[in-house]
Amino acid sequence: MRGIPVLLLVLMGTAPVLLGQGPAVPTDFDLADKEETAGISLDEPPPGGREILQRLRNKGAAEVNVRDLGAKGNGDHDDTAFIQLALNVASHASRNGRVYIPAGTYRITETLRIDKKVSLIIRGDGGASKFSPQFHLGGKTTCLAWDGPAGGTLMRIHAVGGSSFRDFNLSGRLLGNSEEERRAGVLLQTSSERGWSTMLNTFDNVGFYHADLGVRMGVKSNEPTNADQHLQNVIFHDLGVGFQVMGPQGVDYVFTFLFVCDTGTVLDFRRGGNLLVNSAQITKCDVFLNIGSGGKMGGVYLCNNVRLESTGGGRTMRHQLLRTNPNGGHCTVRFAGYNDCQWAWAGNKTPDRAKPLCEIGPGAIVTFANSIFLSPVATVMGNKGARANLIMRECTFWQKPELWLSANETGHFKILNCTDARGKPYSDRVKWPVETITIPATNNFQDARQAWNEGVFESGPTEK
Amino acid sequence: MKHETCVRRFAIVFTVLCLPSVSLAASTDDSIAPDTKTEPAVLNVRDFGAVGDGKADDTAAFKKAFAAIQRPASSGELFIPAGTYRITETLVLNGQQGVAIRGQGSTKWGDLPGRNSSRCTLLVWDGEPGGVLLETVGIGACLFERFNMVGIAGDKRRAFLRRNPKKTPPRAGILYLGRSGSGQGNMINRMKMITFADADAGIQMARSEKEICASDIHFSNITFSRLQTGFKVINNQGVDYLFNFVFAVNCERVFHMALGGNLNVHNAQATCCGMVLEINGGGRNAGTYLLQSVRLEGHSGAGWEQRWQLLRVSPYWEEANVTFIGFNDAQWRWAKMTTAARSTPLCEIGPGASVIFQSSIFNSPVASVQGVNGKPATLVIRDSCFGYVKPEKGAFTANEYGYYKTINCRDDNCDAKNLDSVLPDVSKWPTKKPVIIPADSVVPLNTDGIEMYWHQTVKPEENEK
Repeated sequence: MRGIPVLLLVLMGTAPVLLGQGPAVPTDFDLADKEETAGISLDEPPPGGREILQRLRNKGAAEVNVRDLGAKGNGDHDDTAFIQLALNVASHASRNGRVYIPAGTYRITETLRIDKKVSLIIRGDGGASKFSPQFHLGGKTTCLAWDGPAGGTLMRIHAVGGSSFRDFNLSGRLLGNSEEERRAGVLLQTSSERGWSTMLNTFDNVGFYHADLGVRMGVKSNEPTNADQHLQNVIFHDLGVGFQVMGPQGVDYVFTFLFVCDTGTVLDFRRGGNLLVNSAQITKCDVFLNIGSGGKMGGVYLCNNVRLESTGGGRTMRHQLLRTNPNGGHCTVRFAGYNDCQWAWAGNKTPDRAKPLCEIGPGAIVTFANSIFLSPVATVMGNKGARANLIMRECTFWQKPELWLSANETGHFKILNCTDARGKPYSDRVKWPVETITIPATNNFQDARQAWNEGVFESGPTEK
Repeated sequence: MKHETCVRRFAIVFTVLCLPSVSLAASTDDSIAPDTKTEPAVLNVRDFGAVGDGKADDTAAFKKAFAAIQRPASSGELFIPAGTYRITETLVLNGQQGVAIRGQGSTKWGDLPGRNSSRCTLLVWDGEPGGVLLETVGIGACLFERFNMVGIAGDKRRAFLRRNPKKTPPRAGILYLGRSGSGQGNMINRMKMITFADADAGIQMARSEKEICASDIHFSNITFSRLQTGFKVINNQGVDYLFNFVFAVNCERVFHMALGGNLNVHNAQATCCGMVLEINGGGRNAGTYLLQSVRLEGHSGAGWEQRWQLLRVSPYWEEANVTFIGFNDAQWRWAKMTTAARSTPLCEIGPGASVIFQSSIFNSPVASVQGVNGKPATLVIRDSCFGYVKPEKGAFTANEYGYYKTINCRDDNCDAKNLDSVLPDVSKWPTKKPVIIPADSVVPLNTDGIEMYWHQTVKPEENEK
């Protein structure tokens, strides 16, 4: 066993020079003592697989090219076993595992799996195509397309960390298959178990298309960490839900540059939170952000420069930005630079017309700064256990704010320094249950420390 | 020359011999056989005849490479090794999806004498003055990475400036022009680590107002150097221009939104730039502008005592909402200026604009807020620090339709004995007391009988077809 790496290293001393590439990463495939991962044993690779593996080893390749293993990427050949083999081989590499999926459409009929692996690099030739990855035939994009049973999962990563997924697309159906038949349920499912979290992964330039769900973090609501993911240059198109968080440990989901169209709920936080979004374009989607939980573990949501609009015949449809119902928890949400492009909403003749942009429920405190509203803004509905709050600063309203807000007895809002469409300031509007407490500026303010010492928080804060 | 050709031929033969899988034949053979020839080639522009010595005209080689990039045998990646490539005609990408153009490195400012290109890739314009270096039409999911685009060769520029020290050298008009084709948006592309230097415009989105979908681009680590305008948008569909880390030096304007908006900038340094952001459009389609951590300063020499401006916004018929978070005005030497420019404000806020500063530092007069009757201008500053000028004196000028407020600000006095460093809130605002709605009342949602501003422009009947 030791002989092979030495030979490889000797070979590789020359290989990078010939390849004209950067330094190659040594790869000794330590195959013998690894268990199989997804029903494909490395002892029984697909037809021709063993020879290909041997060739790969001889070549000292730093990266497993799925086409070297027999994947064809022609949209017809079943490439499942070959891509799974590539993932297995990369997972078994004792150092960095890299998989390269050249441009093409790869037909996938069973769930692809990666189990308990760190520092993988899975890359294609191009991703995040506009609208549909198979629309531009001949484009230099990589697409894994589902052609298995309807409702299936395309890729499942279990306890995967520090890995990079980039430049490819996942599609829930093959071009030619109709909408309903053989459409995938979930495109990318993460999971974890005790001691094995899925975290610190990056997704760059990845597109998700045609499925019930794009990305789902965790399977069950009580699963350990499926969190700390950075997603940049991501496209969601034609999905029921774009991104769904199931577990409570919602920590640090960063989206940088998100482009979404024709999707039901874009970001769906069943539990958990701590979201940061920078620049999102949302076209023809039912709702951008749905928050079903929140609380101490992760209840902070920040969104900068979100733009919501529709196209063509959908222009008069009503699209929503936010629904919060923290369900006994609490959450803080802040939008800066939100741009509501729903002026054609006025032409909506259905009951949908009366739907507000945001539904703010008990336990939520929502802030808007520097945003533009062209349609009714929010219902602020608290209950006896928890109030609902909305604060809007320096926003533009195309209609008097109180006409575009509704609130119940326990829903409260402050509208500060806002202007009309012509830039003329409105008077501030305040529906707030308490007044400001003024403490003399010269006070030596030690009350809080004293309060801690007296142990007022021992029983936890009480809600009125 | 002949010797060079021999060396190149040798290199090609050598490559072919050593690496059958990366076959040069790829550029002519469109068929693909994944079983045997499994590795699609990363194209190298030098294999298409580019020389990159700054003398040879490499335009034809680039055109050939661009034409080959989407062929099946290519991986969709074009590599441009370090060197200076002389370009005399516009390079066009039309309709490509998922391709990548990669250089070997970008420089700090553009073209540096002596040490300019040893490890970097430079595309240098040497065609008609005012021409376009790179134009893309309706491309998507594409990546441009690690190279320079320069509007005139450094030696030519320096020679010209020796003869005409005050004139603009004959240089490219636009270094990168993004256009939407018919039915094809030029969208969802990325540019990383690119330096734009010596031209009228570094990046321009659209040729005309009608090219609506030249938008949605993620720029990161971008340098603008010696440009009239760094980034210019002239179509109304300003959607999602995200800039992460911008370095601008010696530009007349860094961002110019002639129409459109939705600009999102994180971390921008502007040195000796006349104006950081100018907005002439905006409105219901795209009127929000958010800039975080922007720093504005002069530089050694005369630059310290010139007046640099941050913002000019005059949407007039539309509205524009502009927010700066963490703006740092590094112009304390402004106080020593003796020229008329001393009285120029940092921001010129015109009718229809609503501007907010949050957590910022000012060391020079902040703004002139000038509205018109029926179209006021507003400015709100919170949680910020004022040096040299005070909110009630020196910081603002405003006409009768210009309104401003400062909230929770302090001055730059850090003397422990002086307790006045917290400033009173200052308000020149047309409304006084807030409307108090009883806290426990019910406010119904009302969407009937609403006076709507857009009746003239949007007819609901048309939309329902």
